[in-house]
Amino acid sequence: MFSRDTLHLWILAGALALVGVGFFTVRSLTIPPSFGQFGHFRGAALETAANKERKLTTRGDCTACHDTLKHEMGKSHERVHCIECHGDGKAHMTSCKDAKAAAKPGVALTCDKTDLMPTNIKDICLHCHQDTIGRAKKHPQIKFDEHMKDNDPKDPKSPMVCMQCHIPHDPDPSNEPDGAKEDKDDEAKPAEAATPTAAPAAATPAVGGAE
Amino acid sequence: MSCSGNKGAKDTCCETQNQPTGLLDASESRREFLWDAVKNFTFGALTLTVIPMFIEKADAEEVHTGKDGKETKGHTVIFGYLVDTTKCIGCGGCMLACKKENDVPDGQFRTWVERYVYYADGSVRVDANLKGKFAFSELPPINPKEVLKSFFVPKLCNHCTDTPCIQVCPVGASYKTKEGVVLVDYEQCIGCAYCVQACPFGTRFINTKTQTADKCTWCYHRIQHGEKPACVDVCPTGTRTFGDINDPESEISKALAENRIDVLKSYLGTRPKTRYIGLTAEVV
Repeated sequence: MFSRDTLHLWILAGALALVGVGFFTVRSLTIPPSFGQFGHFRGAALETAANKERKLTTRGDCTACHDTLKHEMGKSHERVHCIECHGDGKAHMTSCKDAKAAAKPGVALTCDKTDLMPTNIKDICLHCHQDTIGRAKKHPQIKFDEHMKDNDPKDPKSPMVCMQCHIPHDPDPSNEPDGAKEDKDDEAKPAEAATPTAAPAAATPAVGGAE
Repeated sequence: MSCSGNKGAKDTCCETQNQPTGLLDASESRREFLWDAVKNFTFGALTLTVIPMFIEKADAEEVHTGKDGKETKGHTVIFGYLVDTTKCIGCGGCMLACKKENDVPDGQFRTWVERYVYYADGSVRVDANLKGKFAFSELPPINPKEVLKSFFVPKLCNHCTDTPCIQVCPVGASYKTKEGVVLVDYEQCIGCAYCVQACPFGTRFINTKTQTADKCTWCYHRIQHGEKPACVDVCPTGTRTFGDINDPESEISKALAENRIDVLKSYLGTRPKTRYIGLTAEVV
C-alpha cells in the first residue's frame, strides 16, 4: 500500500474533498432555486411582490361605474379621493358585483349603500381645512369656532354642519348658500335611496342624532 | 542559485554563471516574458469581454414587459417619485392609505409627514404626524406669531440608485428591480436589521408583525398593474407624483423638467429616485 507519509497526504486530500462536497451540498440546499435569475436575489420574489393583494380602493374602482362623478366634482375637490369621505366601499362593490351578475333588464340594480355616507362630515372637512401651522396660506383653512360665529349656520352643533352651506363635491364659494340646498339634497339621494320628496332627509337624521 | 550548495550541479551551475553575461539568460527571460505576455493578455481579454457578456445578459433578461404582459413603450421603464412640498397640507391621508394597503403595524410607517417650523430667532422645530389624522393639532402648541415660516415634508423610501441598504444585506434579501424599485424579499430576510442601520434616510424598519425588514415598495403590486402607489392615489393636493422618468411624456418627467428639483442628502451620493421640490438646507 502507501508509505506512511503518502497515506497522510491521502487522508488530508480526502478530508479536504469531504469539506468541499459538504460545502457545495449545504450551498445547494440553502440557496433558493431562482436565486441569481435576475441578479443577486431570489427571482421568484419579484413575482410574489407583483402579485400581492391590492387592498385600497382605487379611483378607477369608483369611476368604473360612476363615470359621471368626475363631472360632478368641482375643480377644488377634483383630486380628493372618494374613499376619504365615503370609506373604502368594499361592501358596496361586492354587493354591486353580485347584483350585476343577477341583473334583469328593466330592474334597477340594488347595491348595498350602508356606510357609504359619512355621519360626521365636520371631522372629515376639518381633517384638511382646520387652520394648522405648516399649511400653505393659499390652502383654505378655518378656525372652526370663529367660522361658526362668522357664518351663523342653522345648526352649528350638527356633525353635518358644513353641508348646511357647502357642497362637498364642489365646495367652490360661488356655489354656496341658496343654491346649495337643492344640490345638497341631490347628493344625499343615492344614500337615502329615497323618493324625491325626501329632500330634507340629508340633514335631518344627522341633526336629530346630534340633539 | 548558489554555486556552493550543490556539488553535482556545481559545474553546470557555475558554467552558466560564468558565461559571458547575458545571452542565454536574456533569451530565456525573453521567452518567458513573451509567454507571460500572451497569458496575461489572453486572461485579461477574457476577463474584460466574457464576464461583461454574462452581466449584460443577466440585465437584459431582467427588462420585463410588466407583470401582466403589457408591453412597455420600447424603452426601459425607470420609475421615479416626486414630492412637491409646497403643496402638502399635512392631512396624513397618504400615511393611512399606505398602512391600509400594505398592512403596516401600528406605530410603524413606510411613509410619514414631517413638519418644519422656522422661528424668528433662527431655531427650527421639526415634528411629525405619527398618528395620522389630526395629529398635528395634538402636538405641543406653537404660537403662530413666533413662526417665520413652516411647511410639511412627506418622507418615504428614496429608492436610491446606489443603495447602501442592498450592499449590506448578508442573505441577498434586499434587491433592486430593473425599474429601479428597491424591494425586500420577505421570505429570504432574516431580520438582522443591517439594512435598517445602513439606510441614511431612516425609511427601513423591522416589521413587528413579520420580524423582517420592511420599507416602502412604491406599491410594487399596484404599479406593476398600471396603477399608482396608494399614497399618490389618495393625495388630495397633488403633492405626490409617480411615473416613468424614462418617458419624456409622463407627468413626472414634465414636472421634473419644469421645476427646481432636489434630493435628500445628495452629498451621500446614493442618487435617490425620490425627488423633492421646495426643500431647504435644514431638511434632511
